[in-house]
Amino acid sequence: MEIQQILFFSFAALILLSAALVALRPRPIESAMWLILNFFLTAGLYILLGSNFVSIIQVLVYAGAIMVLFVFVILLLNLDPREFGSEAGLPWTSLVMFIGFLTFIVLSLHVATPELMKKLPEIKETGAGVFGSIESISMVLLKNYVWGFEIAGVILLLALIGVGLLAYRKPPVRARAIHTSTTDTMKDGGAS
Amino acid sequence: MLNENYLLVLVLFPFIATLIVAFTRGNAVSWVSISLAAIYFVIALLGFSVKELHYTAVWYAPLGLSYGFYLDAYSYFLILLSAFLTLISLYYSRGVIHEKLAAYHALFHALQATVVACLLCDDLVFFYVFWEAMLIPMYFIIGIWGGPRRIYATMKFFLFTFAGSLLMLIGLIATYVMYYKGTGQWSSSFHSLLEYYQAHPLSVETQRWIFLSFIISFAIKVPLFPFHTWLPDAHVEAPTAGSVILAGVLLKMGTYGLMRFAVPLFPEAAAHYAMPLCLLSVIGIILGALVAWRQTDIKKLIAYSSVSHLGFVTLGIFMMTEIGWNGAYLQMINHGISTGALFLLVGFLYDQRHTRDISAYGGLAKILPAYSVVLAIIAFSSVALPGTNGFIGELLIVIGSFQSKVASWGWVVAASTAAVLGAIYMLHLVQKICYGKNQDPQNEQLYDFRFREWVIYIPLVALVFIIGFYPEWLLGPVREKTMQIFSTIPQHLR
Amino acid sequence: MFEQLMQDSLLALPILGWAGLGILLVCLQIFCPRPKISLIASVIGLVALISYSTVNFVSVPTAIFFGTAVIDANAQFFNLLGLIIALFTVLTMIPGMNNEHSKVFRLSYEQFPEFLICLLFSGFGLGVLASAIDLTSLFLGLETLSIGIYCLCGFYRTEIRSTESAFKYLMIGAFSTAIFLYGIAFIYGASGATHYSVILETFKTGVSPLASLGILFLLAGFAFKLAFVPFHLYTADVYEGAPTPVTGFMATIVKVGVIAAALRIFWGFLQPAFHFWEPFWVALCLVSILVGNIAALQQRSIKKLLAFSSISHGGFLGLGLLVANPEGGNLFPLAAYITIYSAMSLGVFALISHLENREHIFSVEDLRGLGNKKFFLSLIFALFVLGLAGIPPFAGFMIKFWILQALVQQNYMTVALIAVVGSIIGAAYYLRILMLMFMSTEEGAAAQWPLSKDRALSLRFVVAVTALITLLGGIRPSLYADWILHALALK
Repeated sequence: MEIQQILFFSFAALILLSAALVALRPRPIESAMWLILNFFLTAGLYILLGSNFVSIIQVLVYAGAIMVLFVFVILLLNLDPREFGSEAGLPWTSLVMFIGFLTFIVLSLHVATPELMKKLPEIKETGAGVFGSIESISMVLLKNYVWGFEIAGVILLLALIGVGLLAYRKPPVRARAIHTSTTDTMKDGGAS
Repeated sequence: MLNENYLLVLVLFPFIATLIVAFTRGNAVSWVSISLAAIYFVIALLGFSVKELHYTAVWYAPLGLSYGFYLDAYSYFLILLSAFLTLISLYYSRGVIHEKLAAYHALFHALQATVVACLLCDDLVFFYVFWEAMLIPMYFIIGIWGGPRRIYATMKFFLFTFAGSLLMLIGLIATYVMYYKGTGQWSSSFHSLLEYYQAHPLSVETQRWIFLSFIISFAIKVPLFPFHTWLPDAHVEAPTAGSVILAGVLLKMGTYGLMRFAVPLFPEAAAHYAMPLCLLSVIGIILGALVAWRQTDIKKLIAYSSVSHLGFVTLGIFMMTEIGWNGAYLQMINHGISTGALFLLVGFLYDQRHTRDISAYGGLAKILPAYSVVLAIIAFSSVALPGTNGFIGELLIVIGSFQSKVASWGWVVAASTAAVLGAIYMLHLVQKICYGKNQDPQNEQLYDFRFREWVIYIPLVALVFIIGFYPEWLLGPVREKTMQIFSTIPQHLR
Repeated sequence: MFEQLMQDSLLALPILGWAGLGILLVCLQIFCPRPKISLIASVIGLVALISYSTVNFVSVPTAIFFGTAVIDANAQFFNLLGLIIALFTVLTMIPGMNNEHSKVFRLSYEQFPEFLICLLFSGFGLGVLASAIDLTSLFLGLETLSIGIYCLCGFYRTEIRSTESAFKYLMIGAFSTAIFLYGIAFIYGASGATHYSVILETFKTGVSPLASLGILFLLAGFAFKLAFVPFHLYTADVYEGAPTPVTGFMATIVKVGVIAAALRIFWGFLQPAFHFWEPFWVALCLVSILVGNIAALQQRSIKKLLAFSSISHGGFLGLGLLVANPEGGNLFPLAAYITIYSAMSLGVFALISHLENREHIFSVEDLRGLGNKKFFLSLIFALFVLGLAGIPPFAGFMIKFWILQALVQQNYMTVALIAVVGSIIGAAYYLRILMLMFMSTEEGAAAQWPLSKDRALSLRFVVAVTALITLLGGIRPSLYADWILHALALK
């Protein structure tokens, strides 16, 4: 089997395993960690497909922004650690995580080395006609698929407002007493 | 003299009457309703000399949909019967029904409207629409003003008939889709379909299953054994006027549908299934008679007698002879008159004693002489005594079956034996009610016919004898129409 | 390129108008956050969009936005239908604005502008779906439509049923989106393009196993959204818990969107694979009709009963899709069915929202004796029930009839027969409602709950319009058929 197939199957197996563990583990922080690993491995899959730009964006946006937000929310929930039971299996999970991250880092490092480059798809540098480069992606995104791009923006706006609809709570009374204007409460809460 | 707009009036008048009655307040409702029914009866009488009237109109042009009304002898006499029975039963209801009067009368007019529209329809799709729409007013009539088990009875009635009708829908759609495939034009008008199917008959298999789907619906409505189980419950639990219309008019729609649509369109299939259907009819006749004999509830007895009588009608139809058809049609009218009268007579007793148990009465001939005479006459009409209308009908059916090619006359012998059974239960009923010993001292308090009863029963009794002695006014137009229909049926089938 | 975009945007104004109106409302929240202002703005905006859409009818199919969307008769028709549905939903939600009526609404009263914004954006998703001829627009439109509705379901935040409804719909919806996307990915992988016409060309030469699998997942995704059996398990709880006008919105607009999208796909690039997906689709539709009706027989809650009834109506819609072969000119039954079904559903849910008391689950038994107390209301309710049951002579019968006719015409005899058997089973639970309302002497709870004291003119308008369509639509199809035939350019 070629190195590509070995990498693909190991990434795929680890992706499925980590996705399953997100749901199966009792502690939210651990689930978040597994999800982060999942995203890193998916980024590895993107590299195998030859789109380096998308892979870095995957790490930056998903693992870097979204998961950070998730972790913040979980920390803010102030959950009682005693609710989750024992920490059984923690050494094994740490080991698997270590192997996963190691694989990704090794792969990224090897992308830069010429020997492996011959066996991976041709990753040229930048350029508008090149598959996977920033120029080509932005040309397609903002020209051919501009409609989809804008709709994605609308979805994000909708999600934001929907979250506000579902989750907004008025601040408690004693906090409001500090503000001077108490007549129009909507101004404080609605638009922020 | 009368042009096609007469058909429009015939169809639209009951709908308008429904709206007028529905919005009338207070106790004037009864009289408004009865006068409207009387006016309608007169309008219906006007069409007596009409041979054939046809009215077509475009319903919705972009889809190529049109509709038509067609009056001929078959539909005319049933419309007349419906108008007559509605008038009588609404007049009867005047002192009997006390709550929700406006809704009650409006529903009866709505029922008449849908029945007349169904009878006059020349278009298969509209026929179906009104066939099903007939169920809604009846559902409410039985359900709101009926007896103790009315919910069960009306649900059974509706769902049973609805099921059959929906199965008929597929066959009906197939009928005119085949026409479309053959000619490239959309038309569900019965006349164009008939012409087309005479010239290009369908393949035998297709004919048979379409005919079966029609038969299912009509068999449930008629009712043909073994689809008759809804009938006793519906008749018993319905209010008296509801039973009259149900037995007098609605049941005839099934046989009308057979004679007008199912058999003329698919004569081959009808001839093929004639034998099993005759068998079912005879079983219905005998079973109905035997079960009626055992009943203790008078209304249930009359309900089973309906099954028995209508078995004769379907027997006459499926013998596939002209004389048999004339007899069958005449029996339809006769059954409407006699069974309608019987239900009214039962209602008369029920309103006073609030029991329909046959053993609660007895010896009423001394207390209610007029009532007993009328009961006896109607019973004789039901039994087909010579001189009454029932005799002519049954005689014609029997003669017709001797001439029939599709079924042997052994059937008729069996059925005629069953006619004896008919006599048994009917005379048993009369004997138990009118003669013998009085079973209950309360019966002494019963009052006899007053003015309104005379108004109701004199026409009915008169009709019994008029048709019995001089049926030509009815049979003449019917005979011509039957000849016309049979000219379209291939020779070898009849 | 910019002029091209401007031109396309002008053509797509009925679709972009949804989003524009939503953004307008968002901006309005900064200056004038009162719910009444937002309500007036949204009603005026919707009416303006409806009028614009009716008057400016683009007769030539035009591909816009570089071929990812198209403005043709179908797109405009379904978008217009969605606009009308949204307008009626907003009108139905108005009576809650008067704080006396609904305790639950009063608690969420200040969030009403966000409610309207979510509604408008999900309608935007419908517009995108109706005009999608590219896999990306298809997916994004479906997502927008769904996400908006997830938020709308949970509007009554203090009520646990509403939260349950939103949560369940979100979970199931997310899962179905994943499967749908999986199917899209496979089809993209098999054909190498996202545009329908290019995929069609590829499929004409042969449908690979990968593409077949993708087609199956795509069908599954559609089936989830249309609530076909066995993907229907969420429907009962979601319809029950959501605010009743939102239930009406969900029951109609999601079906409109999916039908609009599926119409282009089934008779577009899936046409070469017709003999592959046809048995699956027929089986799904028939099982939905049968199981939907059988399950509804057991329901005690009226909204759950209507949810199962909408599952069986969805089955009929699926059959309508099957026969909507554009060459055969059989688009009319499907369009008529979705229009009349939307009218009847909106009407019946508007009536229920008028009658209900959200502190209790609205049980069918509560309707007992309503005919004696509130006769006119019960009469209209009975009208909708008879229409949904498909009993002549009302509009509900004609639409079923046209679909059966189209089925028989295309030789689907057994299918028509089974559909009819399903309808027969269905009549029983509808009749039970009629029976409880009119034939009972006792009084159930609904007769005793106080109706809202305000004029509720908007709700009466909705009920009046939908009742008229149901009542007269059978006898006089010109009421809606003219519009449908004209809008779909079938005549």
